[in-house]
Amino acid sequence: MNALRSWTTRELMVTAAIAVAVGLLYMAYSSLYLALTPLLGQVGIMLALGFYYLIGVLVPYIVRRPGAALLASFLAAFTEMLAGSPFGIMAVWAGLIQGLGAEIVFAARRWQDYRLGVLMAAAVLSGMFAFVYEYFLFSYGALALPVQAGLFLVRIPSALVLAGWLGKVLGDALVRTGVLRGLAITQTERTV
Amino acid sequence: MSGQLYLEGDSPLHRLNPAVKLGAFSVLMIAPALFLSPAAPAAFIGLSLLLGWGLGGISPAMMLRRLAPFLLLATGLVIFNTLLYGGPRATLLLRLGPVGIWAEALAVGASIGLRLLCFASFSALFVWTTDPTLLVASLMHQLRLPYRLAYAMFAAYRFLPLLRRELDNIRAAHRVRGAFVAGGPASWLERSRRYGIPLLANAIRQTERMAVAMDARGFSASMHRTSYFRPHVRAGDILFLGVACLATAAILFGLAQWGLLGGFLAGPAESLVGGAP
Amino acid sequence: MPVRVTGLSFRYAASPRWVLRDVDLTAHAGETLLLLGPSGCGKSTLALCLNGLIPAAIAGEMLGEVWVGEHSTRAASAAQLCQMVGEVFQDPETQLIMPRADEEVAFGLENLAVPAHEMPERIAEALAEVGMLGQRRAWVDALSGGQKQRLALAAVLALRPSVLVLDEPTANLDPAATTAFFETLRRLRTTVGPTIVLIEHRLDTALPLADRVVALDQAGTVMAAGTPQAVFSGHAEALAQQGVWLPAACRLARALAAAGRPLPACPISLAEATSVLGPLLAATPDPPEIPPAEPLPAGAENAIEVEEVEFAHAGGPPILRQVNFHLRRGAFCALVGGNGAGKTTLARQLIGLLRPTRGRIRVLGRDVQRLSISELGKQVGYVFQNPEHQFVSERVADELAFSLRGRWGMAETRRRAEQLLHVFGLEDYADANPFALSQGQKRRLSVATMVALEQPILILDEPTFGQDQRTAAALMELLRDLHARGTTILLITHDMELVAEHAQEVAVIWDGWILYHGPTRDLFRRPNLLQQAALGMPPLARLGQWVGHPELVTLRDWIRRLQAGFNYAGG
Repeated sequence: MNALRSWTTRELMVTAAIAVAVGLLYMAYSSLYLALTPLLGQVGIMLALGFYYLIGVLVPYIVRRPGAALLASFLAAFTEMLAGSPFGIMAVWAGLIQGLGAEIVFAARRWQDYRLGVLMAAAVLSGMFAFVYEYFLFSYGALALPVQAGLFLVRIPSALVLAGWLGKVLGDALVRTGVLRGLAITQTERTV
Repeated sequence: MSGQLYLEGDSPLHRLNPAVKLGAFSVLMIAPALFLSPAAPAAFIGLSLLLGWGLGGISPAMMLRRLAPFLLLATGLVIFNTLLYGGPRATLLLRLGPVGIWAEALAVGASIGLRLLCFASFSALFVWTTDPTLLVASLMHQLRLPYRLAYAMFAAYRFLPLLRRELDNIRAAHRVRGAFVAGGPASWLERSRRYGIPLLANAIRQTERMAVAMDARGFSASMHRTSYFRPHVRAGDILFLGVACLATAAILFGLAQWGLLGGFLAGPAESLVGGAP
Repeated sequence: MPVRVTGLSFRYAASPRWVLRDVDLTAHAGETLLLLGPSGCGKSTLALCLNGLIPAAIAGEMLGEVWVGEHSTRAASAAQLCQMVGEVFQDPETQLIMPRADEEVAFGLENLAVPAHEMPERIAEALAEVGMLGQRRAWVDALSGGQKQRLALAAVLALRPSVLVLDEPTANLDPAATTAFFETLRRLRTTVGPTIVLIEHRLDTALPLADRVVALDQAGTVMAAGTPQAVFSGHAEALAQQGVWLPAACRLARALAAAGRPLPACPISLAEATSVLGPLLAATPDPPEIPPAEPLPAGAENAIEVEEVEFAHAGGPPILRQVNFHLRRGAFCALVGGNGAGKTTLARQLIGLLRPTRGRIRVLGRDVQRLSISELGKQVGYVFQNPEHQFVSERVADELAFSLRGRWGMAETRRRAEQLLHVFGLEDYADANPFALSQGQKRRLSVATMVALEQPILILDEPTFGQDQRTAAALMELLRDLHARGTTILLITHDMELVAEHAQEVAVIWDGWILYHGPTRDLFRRPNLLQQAALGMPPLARLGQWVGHPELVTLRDWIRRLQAGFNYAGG
């Protein structure tokens, strides 16, 4: 984790703040999840699951540093635990695993490429890593095979839209508010 | 304190090294989740109640109150997993038109529903009895977490109540403007954008000031630093971890002896109910 | 240690504008230097140059030198710098990082690798210096704004800097907390004796501490420097033109001169003003009629009626205990009280965001229990403290269109939106992003969106909080216009100067009770009540008390009194 030394204090704080803000939105979202689960069933809800991978896309898109996806996902999950999510400690592990998925995609592009396609790929890999974790934690193996396939497949479009695309849309909207001045997303070229 | 869950106290659970406690609790949560029987998570929920009562000074009533709101989600998981179960089935309990409720399916469903309550129960116990500063300090010293990352965690802890108030204000402000949209997924997306932008923009603006204030007190001055608190791992911590692992093994072994453990991991081919010889 | 700045210029990275231009200034060891200037003049940037974050941590181009004692900030290490210069910033919420008070003080010590066994003593010492030893293990989030600022000061003092830079440290505090902070500073000057560079616009509170004053202008150059006397008597005109706030006594003297009644000597402090004005008042006979404080007109139709209202959050302590409050149509009323007194809670009942636990509220004769928030929103505009919280779109024009939606046809909506842009001085920003506007523009936009439907009642929650004087004055101008056109205005604030100058009537809320509701002028004759409610007395009202004329509260009162006396005596 020596990469952290190259982070400025502001980048660290931006990551923490976005993680908390998104963590809070997750919490608002979890209560929606709690209310809807018995009604709609999990496959339907999974359509919205992509939102959980947003943080691992949005922060890297803004600060563009090695480790951003991992750190941001971890901090968002840490916030959820502190704020009393039912998944608690398990959410923190989930955050680390999801973040790792996204981080691998950014690393493969050497943390230089943040075009929409890369963001979407990061979101999808994040979702796949999450699937593996959930597979064990919630014994998806005990479900009928088509249901398993459904749980896997349905999160792909969701990740593409609610994490990949929304991450870019939110990031660009924030650039227009002017608060990101001085961060990598507003600089056209960057020396690493 | 707005929204803070930590309960100050001086119980044995409070005095445990946080990193060790995190490890021990993770064992206690993950172990029962590896089996498909409802008995395992139920037994561990019972253990968490005892642990909170005996070592944490937290009454079972308080623990149960904490779990109550999650019953709905747990029930949802039970229904979902029971109906969509894909493993072998032998005992039909009930037939509702085209849908059959099978004992094996219900057992798996109940197991998964109870798992969630087990996670919630140990997590609540952890957050209630762990001082946030000691947690981060312990991650720094025992798990070698880089200090800059540790301070990002402190920042997250500080931002949590600030941004929660901010989000409440934004919601109120949008209601006054008549910008509240109820309904389906599209309106939800629209709402998260409308709330998201002011929330994120304000949060990011605050970070600039926070970073300047931290650097003004030498945050980036050098890699060499000292610590006001340095949590240590003591014999009692190791003992707790050891006892937690032993207790986990003993409970699982006992359940297995009684034939209550069910299949390991997610294997649908395993026999579930009454794994007796 | 002395601070010496020579030929300092600075511009931020990627910005062509020099924020500071060729600044020279000196503060001798142990001296307090008061730094003034209009908003945007580079005061805060100068502060960051003094503590060395510029050029070390903040990107940009810096010319010239900053010397702290023998050290140039360019050459000193980050660790050396924070032991030479400590800074306290404006916002109490964003300069504290740790969960608890003692940990916050420890943060800097840890960064400087102070041995752990020395920390408890240094922490206790620093907390004692600001009077917060009792809160050693307190949760930072649970501290009041004033306590947070004193904690920030302690966290800096623990590093034992010889220079303290304070950048508007009380701008976000209520009057009682401001007084406590300055009391702490006064004590520090005698016990620790640091060199202090203070940026502050509440001059009447700050001036008694200041040995020297330096004023910057809009362009970021030094326009005046010297003793308070030299700066304010020699450069008052130029300072006022630049939008620099002047001490109350100075403003009074200027206003009197403009009214044809120049004072023999120009007073700077209130004490000096007392000695000049006391004899003058004694020499001018009372005007023929003493303007009596008009009682609030009775019988008029009420805009708001609050009857026997109690409120508590579920399971929480009571916040409103039994509030009775009537506001007549066309009133301009200030709702004042210290932080946590229940001002916002009461105001939110009026718009339906909170519903009373007991009692009844009527708005324009209709029971709010029967009205939805959106129905109420057509009668009552509500401006939140932070304008950004109310923004729902990405274009200024869209914000207004959103407020106007569904009421008129397309053409009429556009016409009204354009008119609003014009009235609120935003016509050049129709396409701008609301978040990217300046502070003052954001505030005006948030008011515009709340009066777009021509709501007869407008409530504003601390609209001048954290804003500079110029934007605050512009906002008050706007409110006066709205009021003149018949809008009933309820202004929540703890800025008593604002209240004295603008509000016709005041309601004082304290601990969930209305302690007072009546004419503004009468309130300032009750110092005990003000003290109980954690409120202060504006400088000119204080001056009036000192010279035995408590009826003189605002600038207008003073001028009318002295002019009337003059005319009477003269004619």
